[in-house]
Amino acid sequence: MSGTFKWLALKAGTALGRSVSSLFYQLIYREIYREINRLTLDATKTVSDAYKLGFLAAEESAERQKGVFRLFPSNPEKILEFVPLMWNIYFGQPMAEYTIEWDRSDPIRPILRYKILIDPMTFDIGKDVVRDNLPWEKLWDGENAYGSMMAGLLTQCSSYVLALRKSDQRITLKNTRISLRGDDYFEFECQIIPKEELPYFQLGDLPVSVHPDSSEHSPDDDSPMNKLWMKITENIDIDLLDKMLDDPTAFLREVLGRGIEKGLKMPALDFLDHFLNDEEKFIQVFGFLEVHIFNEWGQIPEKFFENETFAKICAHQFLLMRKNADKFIPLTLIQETLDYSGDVLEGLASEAFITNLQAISPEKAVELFFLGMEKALTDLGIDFSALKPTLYADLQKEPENEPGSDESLDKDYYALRKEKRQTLTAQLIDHALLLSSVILSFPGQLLLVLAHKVLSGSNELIRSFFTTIRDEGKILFELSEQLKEFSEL
Amino acid sequence: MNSPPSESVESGQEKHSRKELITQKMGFNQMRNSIYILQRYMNQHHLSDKDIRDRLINMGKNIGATFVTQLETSPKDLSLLLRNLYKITVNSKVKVEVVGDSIIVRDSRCSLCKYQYDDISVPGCNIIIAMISEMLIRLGYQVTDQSIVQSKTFGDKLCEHRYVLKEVEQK
Repeated sequence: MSGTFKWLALKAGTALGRSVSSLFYQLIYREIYREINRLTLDATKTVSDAYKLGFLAAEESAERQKGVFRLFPSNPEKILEFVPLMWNIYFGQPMAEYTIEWDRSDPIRPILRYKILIDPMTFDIGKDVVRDNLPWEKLWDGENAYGSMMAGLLTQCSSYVLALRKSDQRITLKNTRISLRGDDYFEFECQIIPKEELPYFQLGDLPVSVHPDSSEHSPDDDSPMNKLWMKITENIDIDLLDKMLDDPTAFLREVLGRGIEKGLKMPALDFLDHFLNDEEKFIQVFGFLEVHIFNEWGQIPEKFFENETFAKICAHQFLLMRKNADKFIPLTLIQETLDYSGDVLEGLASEAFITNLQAISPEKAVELFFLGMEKALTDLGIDFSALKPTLYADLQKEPENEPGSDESLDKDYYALRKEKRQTLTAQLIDHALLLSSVILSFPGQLLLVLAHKVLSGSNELIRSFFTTIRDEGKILFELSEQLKEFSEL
Repeated sequence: MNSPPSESVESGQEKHSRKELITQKMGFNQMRNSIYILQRYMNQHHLSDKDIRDRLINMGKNIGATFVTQLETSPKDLSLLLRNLYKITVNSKVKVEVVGDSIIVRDSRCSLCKYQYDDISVPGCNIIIAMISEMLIRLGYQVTDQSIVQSKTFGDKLCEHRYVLKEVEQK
């Protein structure tokens, strides 16, 4: 529970919630069991019915906390890691002194056991001889003990999150051990199951709804804010947010990984494995994609290239940039990016792939990038094979004789002059083109440097920002709670 | 059923007592919902509204009887005592007023009542008035009656509880 966003989710989940003395909670819990037992006259059935009651009671509450639950991950194993957070949201205090134990003997239905030493529901039970008189030993239905109502409640809560995140799996919790039956600790057995296996409970045909006129009725689900929140939480969850802050490269890694999975319908590792020992192609793909993605915005480059003259100008400009790449992109920046890519790709690509990628020199990487761009530009209509050596030559019309020249006498002289003039003009055009390209691309270069620095360095800043918010927020929260206590008493 | 604990789990439950729980707070939203689910459950077992109310009162009395054994001080000022009892048990900041022979307690954030339900006609705060009365009785006061004047369960803006005490009648 050290994550900033887990803390924020906890506060969002509990800030508007109502809390009572833990002793009142323990005693009303006892009394609910007493009343159920008075009706069933059967301790086993009491436990089963209490489980259903907890399950149904949490449904309405989960519905109201939908916004917070949307931030939870969709992976059931991750949800199980969040049981202490849910415990904290539901019971208002941290799950204390616990250990966990995985049982994966059934891979379809893995079990995570939380062994919890401190169970406030049982403190001093038995000391009030007159009223602590439930048949504690008999409160066992083969799956659950006295904690069944809590188990039902958390089963609803965790399965609600998975249903909200459109998962095909659900989670059931069972209270399999408790000190009241002689166990040394309280145990929650949390099992991942296919959604079809989740038990279905209902209380007959009785409506379980809030009066529509109630002033506290939950907000309309179709509100623009709710829609926006749904959109955001489709791609972001607490786990990702906390990972972003804990690991400076996690954000890019997650975005890249999810993008590949979403776009190519295959895990990033499988996709990048296609480029193993062919890492040069991988860099070419970036250049290739850059041009095509740019072209996707209205196919403007493709339309311009239909004009032969414009296509030739662009082709020469591209070749000039390629020849003078070091004037556009600092090689040290490329080296840093290659180094940084190793961190980003960790877990997404094999170690061999990363090693090979980082072995490519910055000069080679730039050349490969331009090679990819060239292929894309060819796709869009530029014919590099038909280009003359200079832009000037390409734009020259059919050769004309110098006006008033005497072919017989001055042929060599004029030919030499003409050739020299053409060479100078071609050089002039090339350098003017280069100069204008450098000037025009400066904001782009600046953005490239900034983007690199931001991506590789800003997480430190963001992490520090959120850590401060969390730490100071905690202090403020605790102080305001204390202040409230003092002002009320 | 009982098997040895894992190595990392050690016995330590004995040091935790009910007294410690008085000052700790637990989230109550789901438990509040549970009271209304319990009422529907009782309904399924053919209990009338009066029966349900009696059962909630019984629950409150039992809670009050156990809770009060953990309290050490009791102010002589009745209004202050009531404010303290509401605060200590259900974490409510209430307004207390003596009206004639009764004491009226107003709670705008009743822990057991928040929503108005179509199918519920017994306020959850019956548990609270029974608990507070039981505690007052065990602290030496003579409570002759307690009732709910207003409740959020009925659609009212707040919950209003009325207690009749002999000590107030005699004044």
